[in-house]
Amino acid sequence: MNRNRYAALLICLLGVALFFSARFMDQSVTGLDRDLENAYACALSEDFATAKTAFHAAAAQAEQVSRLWFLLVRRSLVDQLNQTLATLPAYCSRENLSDLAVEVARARAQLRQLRQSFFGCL
Amino acid sequence: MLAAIFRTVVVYITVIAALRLMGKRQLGELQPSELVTTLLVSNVASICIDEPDLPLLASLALIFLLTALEIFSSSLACLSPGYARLLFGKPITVIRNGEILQPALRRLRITAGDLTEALRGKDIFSPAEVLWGVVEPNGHISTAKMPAPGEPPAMLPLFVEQSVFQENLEALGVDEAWLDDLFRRRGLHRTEVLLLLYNGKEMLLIPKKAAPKGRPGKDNL
Repeated sequence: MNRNRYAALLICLLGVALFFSARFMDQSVTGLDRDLENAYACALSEDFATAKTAFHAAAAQAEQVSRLWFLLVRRSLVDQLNQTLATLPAYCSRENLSDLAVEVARARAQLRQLRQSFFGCL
Repeated sequence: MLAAIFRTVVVYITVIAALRLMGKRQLGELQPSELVTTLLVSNVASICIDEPDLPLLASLALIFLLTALEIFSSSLACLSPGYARLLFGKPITVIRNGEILQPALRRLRITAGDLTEALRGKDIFSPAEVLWGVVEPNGHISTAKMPAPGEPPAMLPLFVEQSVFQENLEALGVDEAWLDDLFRRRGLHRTEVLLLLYNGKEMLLIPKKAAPKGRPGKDNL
């Protein structure tokens, strides 16, 4: 019956790991989405310097959390997101505003896919 | 490359730990449910090694989840004979007193060729040499040979953990009323009996151990 205790402990550990993983995924994806939204709002109000800094910060933030995302969701989705985020600061200028809109929309869609990869349809 | 090596080492250690946790049952003759668990664990492990795109933690969690389910399932089978029968099935008699029971072969979808091949694997070249032959739930064939002159016949199971071996009762010329009467005379209920073996002359009745851990029950004294 000792094995049952180990199995119960294992299930508890899995439950705890799942809970914290879910919380981490939710917070990191939601936070990054909000950062992108704010940075894009700055770009729309023609504050391109702040927008550029914010997009850089978002890309760095994503790079940082990617190490944990790799353990929880498909690596290809994380790589795609990081690639998109890396391009955003370069579009922070008046003449590239439409390209920036496209890339920000792409990045936010990739964030949604990342979330879906972990939570499914929840 | 380094990532693949790291994943392989982690998955190897995890699968070893999982099999160790599941116990010796998983390493011997596999019952159907154990075979399914082993196949699933090995599949998840190999996919995890093959596909670096897949998250490592998700694969490890699946392996440990399957391990925990297998442990709970086998423990439940120990506690509930009904669940054990559902999970593992029952042995089916295919040879009785040297005679092949053809309806049982049809039911099991095995041919006479398969049966004789399995017997030859046990150095038995004729079903006539077999007193009792059964196909176990794991697919193996177990046999009790005909007794040599002067030797007592092999003991046959009549009752194993609330499971009555009706065919063996009939073969030994007894019935369930005889079984219940025997248990009553020994002051036991069916739920208190672990095992009853009988060959028409000798009997082995083992009651379930009800004493707390560390103290021998009166039946074992």
